[in-house]
Amino acid sequence: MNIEQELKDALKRQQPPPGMTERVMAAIGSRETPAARPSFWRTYRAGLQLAAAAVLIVAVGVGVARQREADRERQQSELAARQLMTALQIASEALNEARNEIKN
Amino acid sequence: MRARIATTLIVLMAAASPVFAQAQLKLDNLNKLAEGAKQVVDVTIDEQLLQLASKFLSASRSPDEAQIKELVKDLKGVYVKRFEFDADGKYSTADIEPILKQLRTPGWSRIVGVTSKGEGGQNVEVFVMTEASLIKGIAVVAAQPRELTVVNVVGPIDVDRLSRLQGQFGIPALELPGKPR
Repeated sequence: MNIEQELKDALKRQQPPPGMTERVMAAIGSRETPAARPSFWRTYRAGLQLAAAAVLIVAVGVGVARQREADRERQQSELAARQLMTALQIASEALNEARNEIKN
Repeated sequence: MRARIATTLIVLMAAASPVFAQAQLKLDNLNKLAEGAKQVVDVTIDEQLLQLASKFLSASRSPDEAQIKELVKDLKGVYVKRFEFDADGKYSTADIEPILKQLRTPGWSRIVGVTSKGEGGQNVEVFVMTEASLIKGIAVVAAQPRELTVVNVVGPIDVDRLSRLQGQFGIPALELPGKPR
């Protein structure tokens, strides 16, 4: 047998043993795939949501507090203005009384 | 340089404040009259309250408010006490005397003094405190048998403009009983 014939025999196409396909597929299915690296958002999702909620609550709280303070200041200003008007009204009237008495 | 300016300002403020302090009368002795009064108007507006009131007065809302704002912009205080009684003799000259005593101190000048005799007669006196021909404060004491009004305006004020306020600028003339209009 020459070497050429030996090579032909060695490289001759052969059928796989029975059950080969199933064993290969089973081996592929059982292999653990490396876990994909979780994204930043997935990792810190709960924390970020909590932080966002906290920021929102603080912002709304500050806004409400500022609004209340502005309302309170406006009310005080209005009250002071009314008192001032009353005082000026009486002051003006008192001066006019003096003026009228002089005229009379 | 800044320190010198600051020092100058402090000295000027210190020099100016006693004048305004003198222009503010002590009116506390009148408080006891409130018990026997039918109606009491007691308004105390210091410089801080004046600034607060000025914030509310707006030229955009009314030109009248702008004029009032301009009138009071340099004031240090406005103090008013008015007592209305339902009978004569509910107060005496002794109640007013402590105020008149303050108004007889140097700096104050009486510019108007009116004494009306007869029924419903009233005494009205107007005093001004001036310094270098500038008005630093005014005081009005108007006494009727059933009404006593004391007004003290501290700070530079235009008396004519103040007297023109009545019935104008949205300030109605007071309709008080026994007052001919």
